[in-house]
Amino acid sequence: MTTSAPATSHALDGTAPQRARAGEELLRVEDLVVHFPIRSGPLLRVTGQVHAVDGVSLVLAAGETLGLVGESGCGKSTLALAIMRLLDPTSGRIVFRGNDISTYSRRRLRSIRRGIQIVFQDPHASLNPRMTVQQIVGEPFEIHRLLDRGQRRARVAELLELVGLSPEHARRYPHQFSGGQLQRVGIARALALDPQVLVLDEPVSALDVSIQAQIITLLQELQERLGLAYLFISHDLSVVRHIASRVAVMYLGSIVETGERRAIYQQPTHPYTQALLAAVPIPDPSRRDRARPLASGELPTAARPPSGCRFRTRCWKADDRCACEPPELLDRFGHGHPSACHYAATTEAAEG
Amino acid sequence: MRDLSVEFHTSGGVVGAVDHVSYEVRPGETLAVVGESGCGKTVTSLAVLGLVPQPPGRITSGEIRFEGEDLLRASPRELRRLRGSEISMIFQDPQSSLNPVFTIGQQIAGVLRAHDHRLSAKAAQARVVELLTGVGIPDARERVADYPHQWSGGMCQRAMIAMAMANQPKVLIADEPTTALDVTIQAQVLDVLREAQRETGAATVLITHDLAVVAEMADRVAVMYAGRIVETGGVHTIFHAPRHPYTLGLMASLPRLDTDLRQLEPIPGQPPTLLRVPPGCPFHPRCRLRNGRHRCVEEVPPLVDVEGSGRHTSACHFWPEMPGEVDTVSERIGVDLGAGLR
Repeated sequence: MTTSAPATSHALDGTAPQRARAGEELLRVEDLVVHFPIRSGPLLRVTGQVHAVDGVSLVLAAGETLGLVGESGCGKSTLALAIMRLLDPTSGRIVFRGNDISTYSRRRLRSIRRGIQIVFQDPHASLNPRMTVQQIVGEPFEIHRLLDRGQRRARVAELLELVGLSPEHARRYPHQFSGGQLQRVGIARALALDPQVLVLDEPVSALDVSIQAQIITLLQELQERLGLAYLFISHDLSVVRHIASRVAVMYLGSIVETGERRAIYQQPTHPYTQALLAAVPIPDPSRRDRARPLASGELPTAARPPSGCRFRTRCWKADDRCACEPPELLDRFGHGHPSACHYAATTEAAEG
Repeated sequence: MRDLSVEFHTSGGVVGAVDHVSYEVRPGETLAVVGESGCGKTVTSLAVLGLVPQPPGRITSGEIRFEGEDLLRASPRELRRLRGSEISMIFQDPQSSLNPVFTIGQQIAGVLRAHDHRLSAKAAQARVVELLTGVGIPDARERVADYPHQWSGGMCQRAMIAMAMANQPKVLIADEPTTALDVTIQAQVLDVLREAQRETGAATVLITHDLAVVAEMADRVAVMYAGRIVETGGVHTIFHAPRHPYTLGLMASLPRLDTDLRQLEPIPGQPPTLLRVPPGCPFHPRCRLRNGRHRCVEEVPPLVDVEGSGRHTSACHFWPEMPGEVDTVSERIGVDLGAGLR
């Protein structure tokens, strides 16, 4: 990295929120539910609900990374959009620095958006192709009426250097960048207003492995320098193991297991976590013949989730109890590592 | 395949997509061709099936021999006979590779009957059910009448494998077969692919960007960068004793599921666009082994035998300077790279 001194410690104006102390709780999500109506028939009546997010709770503290993993359709991106209030939750609370923002008007949300920002998977789709990088990264100042023109220009240059680009890049348009460079622009824009929390929705999934490693390393450096908290959403369990301090595993709209990184990767107790970890290919040919429990079948639709435990249709442990009684996310062993399975247990196969 | 070169003529100039690429694959063997996007791995395989669009593409040199016959000089009719029977291909996105207006059963039966005109409709139908059952489709007898949109991505990819294996091909080319799939489904599909290959004994070319899939599936590996092969070797050799700085850089860029790494060692810079491939060794602007030496800029490194057996080749002038055994399982990889390459 060629970046100079930390660029974000100065306040943008007198109203900038105070920085959080390390470990202080920044974001709390309580029992969040997002349902989408299914409309059908000639009058488009509501005939059902897609249970995209169904009662998710989580906490994010200053300076930490919470990894949220799950396969496509598990609701992890919907959860991100709901936390950002880019989607309206059906019920539940989103508490950011002590304020319940789940019912804030768009106007009041504006002040919150300075503290919490999002980076999407595909920067070519999420950044406006008709704007220069100067305009893209400088736009937040315009929206929030901060800084004059000269100050904005200087601040954009500073932000570009912070993410490993050069100030000359400010004149270019998105199509002139590769995916990795453009993702740096997306990160610079997200950092413009000096947030405390970044929601990162699959930020490296579209990138080649050598570029992916550059962006992961950049995110780690930025976190260290700026004390950022990350909600890191990904389907890639290897990436999450590398970047997250705590991990939550999602399946069909709910968190099925959560805990410290080591607990999740070395002593998973939920059968879905175990199956997920076993399914990930390992880049070491000498470990090819390891024993692997595999989840059978496919993800059920979130419009008609199974009764009881949602994983039971693919689970090798499932019995009658799993069909009637939805398992709660409970710390069954007192390890601070809750799991939503009636028959939670560690396995021998899942060693680290 | 020997010395294959493919160019594309674009508005921006001539793109050398594939530059003097040679490889071979034997019955029952899996060769993985690995590289990042735009390295030419897909174009290489399209050439085998005569599917490079010409123009804008042009095959400027080389030969592709299948059982002694040069496919680049075969008649369109001959190629049509080979495609789908002797040589078949599986693509990344099964839902767009299948025809949406025909049922799954009709499409697989079509492949069977295109290459065996005497096969009755009834016999074809029975064989389709057998093939789909073989790739793990439950209730195959009822589901042959489904259309592709009624099936999930994982099921469509199973159907593609069934179709590719329908005529017991001698060569199977699988281009990113599991990239579009979720990880639990990927594991199931890789198992099916492995099983199908074992049954038919097909020589398999697996094209992928995913080193972990390579480690799970391949016998031998060819690493491509900017249209060229930069290293080939047995799968254990490539993962534990790579002799090209790009291969080692890829390994050090990988986050690991099976261990806590202190930090990743990304390859600096960006991959070149094929319109402007750097002179000399195409990897030199990003290489940590180069140390400012002019030879890397002036001279294209040939693929040389590094072991004396012909089984391990590297296109690096300075391959003997690479660190010895690389223990990719432990945290030591970061240290090895630092000590060996800085």
